[in-house]
Amino acid sequence: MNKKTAHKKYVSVVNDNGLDYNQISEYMTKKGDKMNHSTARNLVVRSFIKIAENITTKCGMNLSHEQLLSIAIDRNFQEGVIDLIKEKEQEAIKLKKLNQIISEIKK
Amino acid sequence: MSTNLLSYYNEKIKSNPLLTKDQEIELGRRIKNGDNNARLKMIESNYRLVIKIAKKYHKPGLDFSELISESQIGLMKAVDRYDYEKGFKFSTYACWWIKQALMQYINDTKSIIKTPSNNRNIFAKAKQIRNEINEKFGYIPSNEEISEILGISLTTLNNVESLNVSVTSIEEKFDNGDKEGKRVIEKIIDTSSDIESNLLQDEMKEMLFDSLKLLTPREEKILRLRFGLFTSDDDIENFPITFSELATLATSK
Repeated sequence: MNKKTAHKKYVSVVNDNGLDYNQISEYMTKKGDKMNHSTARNLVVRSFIKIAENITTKCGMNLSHEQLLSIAIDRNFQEGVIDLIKEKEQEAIKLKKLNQIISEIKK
Repeated sequence: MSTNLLSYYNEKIKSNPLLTKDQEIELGRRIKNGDNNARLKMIESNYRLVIKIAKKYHKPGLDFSELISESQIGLMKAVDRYDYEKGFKFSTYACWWIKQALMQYINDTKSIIKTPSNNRNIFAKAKQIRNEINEKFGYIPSNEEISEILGISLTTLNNVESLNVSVTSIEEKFDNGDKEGKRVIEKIIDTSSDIESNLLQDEMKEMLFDSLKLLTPREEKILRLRFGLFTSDDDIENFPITFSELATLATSK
């Protein structure tokens, strides 16, 4: 980890298709939801905190905000969550398409 | 089946005593002239040899009656090709044909992988040399040494040895004298799946997808934009499926 990242308060991974926080804020502002890059970043981190909180609570753990934050900004945690979502999404899309085809045939 | 065959051979052996050298020459002459009775007499008089050699080759997993049948084929070949004029005893000549027929049968049946006969011969010779050196000098020679002794390349020897592997059916039961013994397949460890960790993973996945329901539409949109979870690069506005739909699908499964 380089010095810059090591001291960063918030870290989030980004893949090839993803947008950076400035692009996200510009896009959202264009769509009528005015925000700056730090709001976009806070929303991403908040989402991961929500996910981490729900999982840890269900596992019987009661973690502080700092502990949840450290999980939420963990690269491995973020990558893991996104990979699982992508995997499930692909399955769901296939299922949705299949259901569409079946309903069309029934018609 | 096997006992019937053996008793048949025993009867024939009793009724056909060993031939003398003169009798063999006489029968040999008649066989050459096309006498079928002489041929039959020569075959029946040498059943003793057939049984004796077949017994030597009998090993677990080989059907004894099949071995006798195969060695009989060898005997018939020997009778047809025996040349009494050369002065050898028939049994001296016939035992090689019987052994050849038996070896052919054993090589063909012992493995489901069929290899050329010269290949099997090299393997047998290499095995023999290995055993002899081990007995004499007390060490197992390397493949390099064996290939040098046999006068073949090391690659050929390695290829031959890799082909001559014993094959066992995974449905085969362990021979412990127990009919209800476990099959080979039941003893193979499945390293690909660990039931406990798979269950834990499924549970974790369920929790994760359940958590997605808690995100607001705004948070979902930002998360998708950040990680490229949209329909395509040209259409970042639409998502193929929402997080809550995904969570419902995941939990309903």
